[in-house]
Amino acid sequence: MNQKTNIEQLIARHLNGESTSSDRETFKIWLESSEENRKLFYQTKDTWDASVKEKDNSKDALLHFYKRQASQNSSFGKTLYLWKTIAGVAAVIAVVFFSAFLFNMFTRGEEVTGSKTELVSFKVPMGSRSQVNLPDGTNVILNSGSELKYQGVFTNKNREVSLSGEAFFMVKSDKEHPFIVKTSDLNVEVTGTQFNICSYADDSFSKVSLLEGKVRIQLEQGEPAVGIVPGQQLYLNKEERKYSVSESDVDIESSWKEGEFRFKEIAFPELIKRLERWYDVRLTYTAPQLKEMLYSGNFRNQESIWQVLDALKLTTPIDYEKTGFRKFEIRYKAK
Amino acid sequence: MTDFDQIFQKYYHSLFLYGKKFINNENDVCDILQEIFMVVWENRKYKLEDVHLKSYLFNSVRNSCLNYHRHRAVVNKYKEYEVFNELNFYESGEKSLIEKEDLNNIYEAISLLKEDYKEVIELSRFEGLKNKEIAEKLNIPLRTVETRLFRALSALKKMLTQRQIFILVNMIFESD
Repeated sequence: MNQKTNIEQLIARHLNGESTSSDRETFKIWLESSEENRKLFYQTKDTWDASVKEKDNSKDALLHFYKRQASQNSSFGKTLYLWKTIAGVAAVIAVVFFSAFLFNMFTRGEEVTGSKTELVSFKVPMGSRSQVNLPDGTNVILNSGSELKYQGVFTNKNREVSLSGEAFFMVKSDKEHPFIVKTSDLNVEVTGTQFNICSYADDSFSKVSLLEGKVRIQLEQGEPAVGIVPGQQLYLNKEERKYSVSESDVDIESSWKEGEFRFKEIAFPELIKRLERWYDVRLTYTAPQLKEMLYSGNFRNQESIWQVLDALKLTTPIDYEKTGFRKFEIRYKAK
Repeated sequence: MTDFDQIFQKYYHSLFLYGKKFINNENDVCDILQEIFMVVWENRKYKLEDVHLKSYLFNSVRNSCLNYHRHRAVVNKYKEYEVFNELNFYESGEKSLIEKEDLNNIYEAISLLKEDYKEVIELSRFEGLKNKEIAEKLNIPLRTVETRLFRALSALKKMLTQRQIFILVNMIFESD
């Protein structure tokens, strides 16, 4: 038998039980024979230890802690001086309110009261955002590079729009007449609710995140619709046509509508796409190392693209160069 | 919730799993954590900045576990060797994945493993089955289970150590 396989099996046996005493003897000799072997084993054991899933009993433990604390305190006669400090320091976060001027009403197409065949379209260029009030009282905020369309007959009774890009919907409640958003990959049907849809043609995914109410998402014709509840997100992988529903931070997902650019552990390629739309620039990169990196952050859009790139430069081994009008090239710089 | 409660809930579970790396007995790990949080409470360590607090907590667990083994005269020689070796190994610079990663990241990485690998990890680590039981359940040879388990751990280790997360939180810029 090949030596390496033997050791792999020995380690697995050692970690998950039932090694014989001769196994242990062999294992011990192997372990002690080199620093490298020890490193391999301890790293593997560390991964083994970290991947255990057990019930998180921290709530019970906290209660238990206080009980024991209380019994000990009474016997020693200590005072609970801590209560004085519990009020403690609170971090004050300045919240920047973005006034409506950020959202310039941007309409293309003729009068909203068009004829039956007329297509009404609201198109937001890269680098800006816009707000649309539909005739039924529904309010839609459109993110950069997005387009919202409907046939000229949008009324209180026929509420159907199509979207390409990202939008946050605050749908006027009307149980009789569902509001339908169509995108190239999925349809969302709601009655009265607040939710975010992100479905750009050049992204490999579409996402629907729900803040309030209820939505039904139709992925394939004839298939049953998928429902999600507030705080959840449906993520559709467009290529594989596979979807998953998970808990998500809807505030972060829809932070763009407040003029903030917040993101949590997104991959470099996605960050770049979002920056391109947000700032209306072209960013190019070729280094494969960049694709591995994940970013979290919080920008407020007052920063220029230069400042954002400088911030990236502080945390990532990159350099950038302006290569043309609103064009930048990002290069990986080995440490 | 008070600062203390928040800190407690944020770290307790990770510290518990971390302590169990060194000590097999759950009650003893709980006792160690109780003592550590008592110090945190009494010396108001929870006012520390999060990153310092985190390394303080994990270091305390590690040191307490070391002391635990030192003070236990009736400890099996072989195990003692193993534990000390492990402590020395981590002292020498490598940090445990439990310390470095959010547990959610670890579970997410497991979910991304290929099916064969994910299966053996889930059965052994989530459901607590021994290798032999996994072999019976999946109707495959024991050796295959062992090889898969080792390779699954290697793949997981690779995923977790290659990932780099850069945080650009709340950058403050001077206005032009």
